[in-house]
Parts: sequence; C-alpha cells; structure tokens
Amino acid sequence: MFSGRLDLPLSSDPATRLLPWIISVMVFLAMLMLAGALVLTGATSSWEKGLSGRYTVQIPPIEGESTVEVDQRIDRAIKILERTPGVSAAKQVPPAEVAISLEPWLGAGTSVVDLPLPHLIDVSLADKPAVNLGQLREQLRLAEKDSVVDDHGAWRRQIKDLIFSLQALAAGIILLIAGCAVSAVVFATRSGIAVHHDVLIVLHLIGATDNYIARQFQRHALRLAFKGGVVGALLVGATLAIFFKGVAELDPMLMPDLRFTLWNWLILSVVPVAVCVIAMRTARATVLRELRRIQ
Amino acid sequence: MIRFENVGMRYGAGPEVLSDISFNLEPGAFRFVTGPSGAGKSSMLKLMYLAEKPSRGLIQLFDRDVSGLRRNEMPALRRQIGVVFQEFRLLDHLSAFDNVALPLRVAGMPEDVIAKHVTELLSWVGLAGQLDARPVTLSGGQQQRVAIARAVIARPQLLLADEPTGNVDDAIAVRLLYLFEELNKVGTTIVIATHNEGLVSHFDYPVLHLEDGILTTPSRDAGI
Repeated sequence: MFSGRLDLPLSSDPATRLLPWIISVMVFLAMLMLAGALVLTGATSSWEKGLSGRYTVQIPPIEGESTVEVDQRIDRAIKILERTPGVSAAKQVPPAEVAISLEPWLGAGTSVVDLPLPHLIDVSLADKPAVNLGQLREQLRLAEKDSVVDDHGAWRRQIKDLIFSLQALAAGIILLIAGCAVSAVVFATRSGIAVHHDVLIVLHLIGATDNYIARQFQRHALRLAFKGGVVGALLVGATLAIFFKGVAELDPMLMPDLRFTLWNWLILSVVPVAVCVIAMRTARATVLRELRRIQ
Repeated sequence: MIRFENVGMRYGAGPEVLSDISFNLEPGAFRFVTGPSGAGKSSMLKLMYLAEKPSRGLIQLFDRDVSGLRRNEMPALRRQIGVVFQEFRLLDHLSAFDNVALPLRVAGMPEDVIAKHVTELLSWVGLAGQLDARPVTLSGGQQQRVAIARAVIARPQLLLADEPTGNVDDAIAVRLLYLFEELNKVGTTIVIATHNEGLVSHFDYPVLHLEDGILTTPSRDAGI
C-alpha cells in the first residue's frame, strides 16, 4: 500500500503539501486530549475505587471529656459496627494519621490535639450482605447522638459525573478533530481531482476503473496521513514524557494518582492508525463521488 | 464491430456537429475517416471511444448498444479500444516507458511482462533510447510514436487514431501506417481520421468522408 506506484502526480500538488502538517497537528491534539482524559479517568477511578466499600463514621468531640471517656465512646461505636451485618471491619483512624492527612493544609508539625476534630472510624464493608445504612445510622445515633455515617455516596457520584463529563468532552473534541481531518482530506482530494482532471480523463479512456483511480488517491492519502500521524505521535510522546517528569517531581500528597499504563499507550496508539484509516476511506469516498460527476 | 445508425451529436446546446451518420464496420475492417478541419472527424471518433454520447441515434460497439452501458461496464469495453489522440494526451509526469505501460498496468498485467512488451514496442517505433524520457523532452514526432505505442500495446480489437501522422514526415507516417496494417492483419479493426489525402491515396482502404458533419461518401461497408 505504501510502496505502490502512482500514475497521477499527486505528490506535487500544492494543496496536499500541507496535509501531513495539518494531520500531525490534529493527531497531536487528539492524542493529547485522549491522554488527558485517560490520565484523569484513571486518577478519578482509583479515587472512586478507594472510597467504594468503605464508610467513615465521625464521632464529634465533647468538650472537657477525658481520654478514657473518648475511648469508651469509640469502643461502643466500633462494637455496634462489628455487629452490623455487612461490615467486615471497623477501626479507629489514629489521631496521628489524621494529623498527617491534614499536613498539606495546616503545615508539618502543627499539633491537632487542641483542634475540635471529630474522631474517625474507618469501616470496611463485605461484598455481601449489603449494610442497612438507615438502621446502622439509627443504632449509632442511639449510642452517640451526633454521630455521622458518611458512605461517600455524594462524593462518589460527583466523581462519576466528573469521569463521565471528561470522557464526553474528550470524545466530543476528538470527533471535532476527526471532522476537521476529514474536511482537510476531502479538500485536498477534490483539489487533486480538479488539478489532474485531464489525466483522469485519459486514465478513464484507456480503461481505468473508478476503483483503480480511487486506489491511487487513497494510497497517496495514506502516505500523507502516516507521515502526519508519526510526527503527531512523536510530539505527544515528548509532551507526555515532559509532563510525567514534572509530575514525578511534585509532592505526591498533593497530587492525585496520575499514571499512564501500557493499556493507555495502546489506546493512544489507535489515534494515528485511525487517522490513517479515516484519511484513506475519506479519499476513496471523495474520489468515487467526484468521478461519478465527471462522466 | 461498430454500427452507427442515424447518429446525431451536438456539444451542449450548440448546433449538430454530426448529423444522420450511418455506417457499419465489420471486425477486421480498415477505414480512413477524411474531411476538412471541422467536418466532425474527431467528434465521430470520440463517440467511438466513448468520450462523448450521441444526441440521437444508435451506436453499437462490439454488438452492444452503448447508450445502455452502465458506468462499471465501460472500462472493460474501453480496454478493447486503443486510441491515438490528436493532441497525444501523454502524461507529462510519466516517462515514455510508463506512458506506454499505462494500459497494461490498468489491466493488471504483471510488471515483468509489461517491461518486456513495452521495451520491445518502443524499440520497434525507434524510441529504444528514450525509455526514460519525459514527453516534454521529446519532439512532436517522438511524442506521436509514444502515443501510438500506448494505443497498440494492449493489442486492442479496435484501434482509433485521430491524425496519427500529423507531426511526422511522410516516411515515418507510412512506416506507422504499416504498423497499423500489421495490427489489422491480425484482426484489429482500424479507423484512422486524417486530412492527409496523400497518405490515404497511398493505401487501398475504403474511406468515410465527412463534410460539415454529414457522411458524404459512404464506404463499401455502409448501407444500413
């Protein structure tokens, strides 16, 4: 397909000289958009996964209570949780861990002892049976009046909405870019047909089929799209390498889990291949349609 | 092979350039089409090689009514017709070799067979040393020989030539017509449009003579 000879002097067409560059920019933008969507989807998905199957119970502090009284209240809540069908484990989040998680906002070494922070219990859920959340809340409220059971439902729904929005946005932009690529190929192909009208007539008169002529254009479009695709892909590779190098130097506590898996690279590599296929099919369809108009 | 019956032709809304043309050519015929410039010789040939459609009348090629031809049936029919265009219509970006090879490539012939046939034929027409030359670097006569080689390379059943000897001297013109004669002897039907009455008289073949788009001297084959 790449090495086939061309009876038409398509390589010298002014309209097609810019096509590889146009395609490289489009491949670059589409791949960058897709890479961004994949990275953010991966990060938010792992976030969402981390929250699924877990509840957090907050026991508000009471002013002036002793450490023994705090421990008794927490033990009481943990016992209720452990008795609840569907709960596999419940343990207090150590105050030191709470302090570490607040470090990015409060600064290292800040004492959280004097802050009126709620006591936290991390609850792990079993796959089955499902926890009766209403009943659990009622039981905990009877034991600890102001206790709060956070199932992270609102947060998870927001994350899911965010993932969906990102994917829809990426899909929309990629479709837009594909549309621009198709338009550029259609324009270049039509221009080629107009420029080489006389050659096409001669080819027809010596018995060339429409398919024979269309193959010439689609082979040329493939060559141009391949060049553009390779350049675009290399630019994206370099951009991502610089991006992830920068990410690696940032504080992981402040950053979501940004990583690019082998699977992501495979998905990304579909873009230049798809652009080549789109260019070929577009050129072919355009030529066949235009040839029907010629004769 | 070719049958015209009351054929008329006009370009767009213009006047008829051919009127009531009727004749019949059997396979293996050799005909000259003569007449002054503007008489309709080229237009008649265009109808024969399916570059134009008649405004009226019936045209049959290879026993098929051309008005009923579907688009996808035309290439196969055209491959049986070799054409030497008046203005050659060589592809300037291709070498002489590639120009002549074109009909074989279009027909899907293997490259080794193409190379053998094309080289032989170009040698025969005296262009062995010009295989890689682009048409623009060739003289008018050389271009004409390349055009003739392209028309005959695929051994068509019907060869149509529009002023094929217009740019060559008489000696080469006669030599080229001998090539057409050889093709005719192996069964190719030949139709040559020319205004060179001297050349026509050199050979003893029937003539279709056109005056103002009307066939004024029907050949022996006419008589539908």
